Amino acid sequence: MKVTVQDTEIIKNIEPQQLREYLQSHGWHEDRPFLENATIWHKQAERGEFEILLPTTKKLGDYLPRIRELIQTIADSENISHLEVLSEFIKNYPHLKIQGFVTKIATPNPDKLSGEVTIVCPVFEKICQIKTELLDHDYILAIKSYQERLPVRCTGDLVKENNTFILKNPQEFQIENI
Amino acid sequence: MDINQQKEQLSNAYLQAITSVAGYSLYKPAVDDDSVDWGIAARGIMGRIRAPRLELQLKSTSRDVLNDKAIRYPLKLKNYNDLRMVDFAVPRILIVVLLPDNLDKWVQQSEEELCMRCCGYWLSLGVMPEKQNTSTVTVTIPRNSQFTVAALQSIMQGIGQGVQP
Repeated sequence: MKVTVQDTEIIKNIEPQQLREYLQSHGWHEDRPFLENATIWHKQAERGEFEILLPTTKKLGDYLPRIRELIQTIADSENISHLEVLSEFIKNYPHLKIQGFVTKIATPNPDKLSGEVTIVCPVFEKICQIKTELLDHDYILAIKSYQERLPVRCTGDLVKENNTFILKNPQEFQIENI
Repeated sequence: MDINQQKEQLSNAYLQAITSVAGYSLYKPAVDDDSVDWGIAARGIMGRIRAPRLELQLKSTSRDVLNDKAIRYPLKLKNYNDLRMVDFAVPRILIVVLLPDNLDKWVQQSEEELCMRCCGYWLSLGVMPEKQNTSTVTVTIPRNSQFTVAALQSIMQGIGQGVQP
């Protein structure tokens, strides 16, 4: 399964504060300022010492290339792909097509044929749990795919709320032809 | 190969020669910016980029842009604006390499030496004003702003100490 990613959309929405918090919680230490608009961070990893230039504001002419570099350096230091790092910083991603398995059906809503389902699928190469609210025919398909362990696909707007991925406006929910 | 590609390659060689002797490494920046051709950084282990660092646009010309005191180079407005902005994390400069008109004179080689003609000049556009021009802005680079090993080392040391080029 190959997902094509327009990572520019994600990168330009990443806040410096998000990156700062990530670096602090992943063994990086802030070393010193670099001119007016960035700080230098270092990490001693298994593969040697790594350096990152973290912009202090988004309002920079070179914000995009700096963040792209930073994501790549984190990926190199942890020996993972840059997409995997990128997935840490997604706050929202519209019109995302996902393909995975339904792993949980929550208690159905009492008033109409609908309910929350959990789909496990790769989001930018990282396996994630995504919750989505399905109605009517889509909901029945989700139950069928859950019972028969059939893969599903769906398109929607991915958002991250309280560290949980939620697929809003789910559309084209269907069981994969296998 | 057309003559413009040859000019570009020779100016790359000039930049590589100066950067190598000055003790820094060159890197190709991310694809997002067409006004940056090269980055210069302190050498890192396994080719990793390290501060201090600098990014640049490299131009070459064999036109008669040199007078007694300065080089007057017509720069595309987009490049002018992309190099002029003050708010960058990594500072930017423009380098213009002047080449002889006649390709036979670009290099002269013997057992003793390889002589490369002519010279590169550098300019920081950081403080330059916004222009209303529509296509190009002619920038003036003093003749004493030659892009030499010593000049590059001085720029990089300055950046390391918090001084914009």
